[in-house]
Amino acid sequence: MLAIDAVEVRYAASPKIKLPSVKLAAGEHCLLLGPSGCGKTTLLHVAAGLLKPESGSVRVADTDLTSIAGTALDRFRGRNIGIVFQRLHLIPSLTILQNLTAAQYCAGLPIDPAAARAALARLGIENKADRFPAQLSQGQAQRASIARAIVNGPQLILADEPTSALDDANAMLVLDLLVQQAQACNAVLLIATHDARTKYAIDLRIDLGAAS
Amino acid sequence: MNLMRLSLADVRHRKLANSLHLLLLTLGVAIITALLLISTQISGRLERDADGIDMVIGAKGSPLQLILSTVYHLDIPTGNIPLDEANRWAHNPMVAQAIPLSLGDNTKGFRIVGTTPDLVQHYHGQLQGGRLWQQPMEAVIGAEVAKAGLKLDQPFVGVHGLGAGGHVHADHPYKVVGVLQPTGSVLDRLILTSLDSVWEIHAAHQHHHDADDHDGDHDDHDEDHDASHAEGQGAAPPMPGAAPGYDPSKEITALLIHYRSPLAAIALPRMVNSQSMLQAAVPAFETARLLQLLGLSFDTLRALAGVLIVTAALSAFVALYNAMETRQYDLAVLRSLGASRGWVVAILWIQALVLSAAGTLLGLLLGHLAVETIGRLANTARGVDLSGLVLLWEELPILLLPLVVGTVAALIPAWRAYRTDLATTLSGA
Repeated sequence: MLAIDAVEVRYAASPKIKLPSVKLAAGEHCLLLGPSGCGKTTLLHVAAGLLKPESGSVRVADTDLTSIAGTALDRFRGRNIGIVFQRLHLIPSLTILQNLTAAQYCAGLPIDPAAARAALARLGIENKADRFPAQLSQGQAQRASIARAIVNGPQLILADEPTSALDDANAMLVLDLLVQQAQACNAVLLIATHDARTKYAIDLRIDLGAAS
Repeated sequence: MNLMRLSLADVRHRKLANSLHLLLLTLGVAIITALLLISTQISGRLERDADGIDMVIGAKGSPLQLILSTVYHLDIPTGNIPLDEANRWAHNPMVAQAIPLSLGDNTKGFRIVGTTPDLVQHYHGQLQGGRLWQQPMEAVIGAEVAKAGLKLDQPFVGVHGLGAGGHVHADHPYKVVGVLQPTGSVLDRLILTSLDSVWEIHAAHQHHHDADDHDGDHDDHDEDHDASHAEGQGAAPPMPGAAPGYDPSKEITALLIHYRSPLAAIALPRMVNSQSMLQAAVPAFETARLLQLLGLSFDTLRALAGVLIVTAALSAFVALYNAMETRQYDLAVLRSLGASRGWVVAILWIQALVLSAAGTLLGLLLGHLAVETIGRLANTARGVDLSGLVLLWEELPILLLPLVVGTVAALIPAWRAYRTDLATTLSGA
């Protein structure tokens, strides 16, 4: 389902970084652990096709992301990969509902406000549908960004430090929500975190700090 | 949800910054539009009023003043000229038509012009009601004068001089016998009567002061009758003064001359200026001179408007470019959600176009509104009546402005958005 194999990446002027191989089957959930700066986000970006590796292969479902580029890659990402960013990245000029329908639109899928509302309902924030991101609390915005990640029914959900800004109770809640939504889509869930509180919430773990 | 809505949502979201450069663009376009309208209408009006008048003969003085006073009816005349002297030039073989003008009185600021029906024909005046003057003290009024309140069959008195506050000729009331349709020329602002009416008033005026008898007055009447009667037949000589029994001591203000052939333009003005105590002035030349004087300030304003538009374009550019700094995340997020590079560029371009198109349309509207307001506030009796309710072909290039400004302003931000590295942008590095 997700297979990252022998991938090396390079940022502008820095030396190549070798990333560990990852292999996850459909429906499997995995934590990506390690201190800040150890390459967790980089690995997520590679998995999302946001960062093109220098070498190696990245397979999502049956597609090798290194073999497609440009519009095809953007389209594939929009339809098959849901991303929960560390900084949430909700679009401030759009309402919560519009943020979700924009995700449908950008992926080239038919716009379905009912489905978008259903996704918000699953995360318990349907009543915030017509609010703007700035009018939401941190926890509500976090849920909204998860709703946006799952609205297109992705096969792969990537989350980057989804709990770092939350208190204990909310951190566990968000983790539970991610797991639930991934199960609902039968998607692969990959969560990058340095948050010790989440360490034992999921059985499958890759520790980048130990690997390097 | 579509590209348009994604773009517009952001325009709405940044109201303050966007309305600032919208304002700048609007003002720039409004000034250019207003200038275009005003200069076109003024020069168009000047040309139309002087159309077919090749030369004006009047008293010595400033040639510009002579043209302004007798062709445009804006300035005071340079003085009067003897009728027999004027007549000599009117019968010159190089002259096809000579229309005499006698100025001196006004009513409500509208000039009373003693002349022949040739003047009405010259400006293609059509009667809306009534008839042309036949007797002395009968008057035909232009459309603007009618609009100001004078009606058919209404008596009115002339006031000595060309502005309010002069001596009132209360004992010699005129009567409106005809109203002209609007011609869009200076004719609309004039009250036309026979030369005799003007002479009669001022002769009588003289008589009153000299405590003279009323016989002279009476003689005038008979003589006028003959003259206007002859005109009525259509086979009028170029000058009513040529009618038998005219008084050589009479004066007129000016003669509007139409040449028989273009060759006259070379010889006639020089002849008049050198061989008589009269002055010849050429409207085309004086109008060009006047426009040149005005043109300087039009050019200055045009340059100012240009600066405003460049500033507006620059501010649109800076605003878009700055917005990019924060917008980069949004656009990268859209990319992460599946939007292609092309879409992101399109979104920025649409934003820039929407803003500059709105600025341009608002500017055009404002410009027209401003000119219309100026036109309504300004005294129509003394100037060119301006209208904001006309569209000019020259405005078409202004419509291209948003395309150019918007595209240029969106170019660099769009290029940056196109080239942006998603991973770096999204991780907030």
